[in-house]
Amino acid sequence: MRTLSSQSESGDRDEVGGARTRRGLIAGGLGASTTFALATLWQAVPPALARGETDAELIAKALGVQQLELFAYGRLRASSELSPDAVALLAQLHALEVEHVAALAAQLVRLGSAVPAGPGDLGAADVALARHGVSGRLAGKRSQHECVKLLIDLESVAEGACYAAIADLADPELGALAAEMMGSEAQQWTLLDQLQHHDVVQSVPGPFVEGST
Amino acid sequence: MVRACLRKKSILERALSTRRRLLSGPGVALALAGAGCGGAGRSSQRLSALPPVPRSHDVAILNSALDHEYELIAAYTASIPLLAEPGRLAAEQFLGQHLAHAGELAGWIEHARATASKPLSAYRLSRPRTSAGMLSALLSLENAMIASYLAAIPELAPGKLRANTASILANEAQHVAVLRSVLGRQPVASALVTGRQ
Repeated sequence: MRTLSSQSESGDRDEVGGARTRRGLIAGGLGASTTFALATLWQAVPPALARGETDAELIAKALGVQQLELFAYGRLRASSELSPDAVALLAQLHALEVEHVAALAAQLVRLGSAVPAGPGDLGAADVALARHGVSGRLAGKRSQHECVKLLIDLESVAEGACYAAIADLADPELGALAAEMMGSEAQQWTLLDQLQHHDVVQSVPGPFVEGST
Repeated sequence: MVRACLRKKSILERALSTRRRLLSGPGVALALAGAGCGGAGRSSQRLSALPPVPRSHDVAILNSALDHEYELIAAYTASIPLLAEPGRLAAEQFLGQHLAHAGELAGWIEHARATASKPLSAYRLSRPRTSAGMLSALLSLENAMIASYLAAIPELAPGKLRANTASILANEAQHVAVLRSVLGRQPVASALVTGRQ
């Protein structure tokens, strides 16, 4: 899960990094105005570009998570352990994931990139789940509680993927699409949590949704 | 629509001031835990990082969002005493979250050394006669808020600011799903949250 840190903590971290940069530049003989210009330029470069990630790569990452969700919903909605209410909800949410995958795949095609294949089998899906820090597994028989828990955790991963993409996408309209999708993932999280705990208050636990990384 | 003379300004300002103190003070975790707001680490009571300093263009957008949040706070404050369960319980939870949104937005604006909007002394709110009518009115305001955030996100420059704004939007989307559910509607109306649910 995303580690929470206070605003003052992150502010201190930035200041320390900035001070180190300033000292290095001054030691190298650069003037204050050059330092300011470089600092401004650095702030203007999106973090993803600084890491060399294009919009297509960011969308492909988000699509990978959506494809994993699609696979998981497809698998778990067929479980014999689910109540009729759970079957109905998972079928509805599965349909939403179909649309999310289609929307992101269409954007990838528009950007001239190939659409990656989703997980091909249970083993590949479980490996992907583990890579995202989701503790549950799709293979084997699972109780309804375990199935829903896995999907809640996966929804958190999807929220986190959207959150990261919104911060880094260079095309603002793609950022807006990711925000629309993030809102949907948050709604799905809430509905799954209500199914699990039957508690309205717990199903919308905090004012800020960031998901997990 | 009639002009509702709510006289909420002092109440809102007091609530926001208290909220900001809570959010900036060491007692935040204790206070929120005491209020039963534990989020199990997935939805946070604060954002994990302060966005870069907003530009003046961003400040105008954030102040507009803040004005919308104030209106929602006024609407929830006026509605809660008249709501039936389970809508009332949800509305109380959502009011606290809107106060947090307003506090966060005001914080970002002040981070840019700009002046955050203040709540109005009165808001033009609809006056439904039933609990369902009030929930429908709140749902409309939540949707308008989402549409406003969606319009704002492409306009905001720092990526972190866009992401943090989406973080608030996603919480509003959860409100919409719960309000629709309490109203007996399909909680999720479409695959993308557009503010038209």
